[in-house]
Amino acid sequence: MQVQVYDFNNYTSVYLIGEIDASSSVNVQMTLQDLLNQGKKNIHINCENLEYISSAGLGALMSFVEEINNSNGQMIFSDLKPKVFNVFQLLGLDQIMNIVNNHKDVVTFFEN
Amino acid sequence: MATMAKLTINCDLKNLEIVRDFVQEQLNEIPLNCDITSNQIVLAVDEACANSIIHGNLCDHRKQLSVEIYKDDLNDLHINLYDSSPAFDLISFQMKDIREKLKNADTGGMGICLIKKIMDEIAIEKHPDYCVYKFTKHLKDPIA
Repeated sequence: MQVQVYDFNNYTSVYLIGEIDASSSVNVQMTLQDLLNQGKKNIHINCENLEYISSAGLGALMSFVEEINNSNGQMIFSDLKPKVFNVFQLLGLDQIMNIVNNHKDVVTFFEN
Repeated sequence: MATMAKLTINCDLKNLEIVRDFVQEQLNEIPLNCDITSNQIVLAVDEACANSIIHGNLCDHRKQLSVEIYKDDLNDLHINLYDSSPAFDLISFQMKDIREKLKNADTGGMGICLIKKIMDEIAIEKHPDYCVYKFTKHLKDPIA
């Protein structure tokens, strides 16, 4: 799997590419930790090229949500494929995480 | 789908990809009605193997796990995971509220929660030297 990071004016986009499982989730965790260490607090997780995520991958992402919230930042997900969104649904995460359809919605989200 | 297919791997998390490919390959031979069902089954097996590799076998590469998969005449898919580490009672395991977990950055137990939501039946067969986690999925519409 690959993780690509792009900085925008008021948020940072993290593109997750490929499959995230218990073996590769550490890459996600390290990337997010680096961003938080740099003071980035508005994080967009772009899932348009995410083919698979297991609980380890979700755990890597979830472990930063509270820290981001406490620093007055926000985490938002976009472009989830139905099979990936279904994993969020199974755990009830679709009810408590910020999830939007596409990058345009992310721009609007961070403008408000 | 073949009558029964079996895969044996060493307890290395890098082998989870091989497990997923193996399960997907077997599922490709079954006329499942959607991608979501297929992903759910692959996910449940990945979670069960990851749990056994990390917690049961402490990522000891010398140890092995086997995954067996077959479909019966009643359209039930059976997946058996053979593990030589002590059996973990995933049937009784209850996950805490997801909001509470998020607040405490507590990410444990979500894999077992997924297995229990996806699989229709779970049984654990204990033997002196190994255990078998037996999962059954009734092949019908996906859950959400």
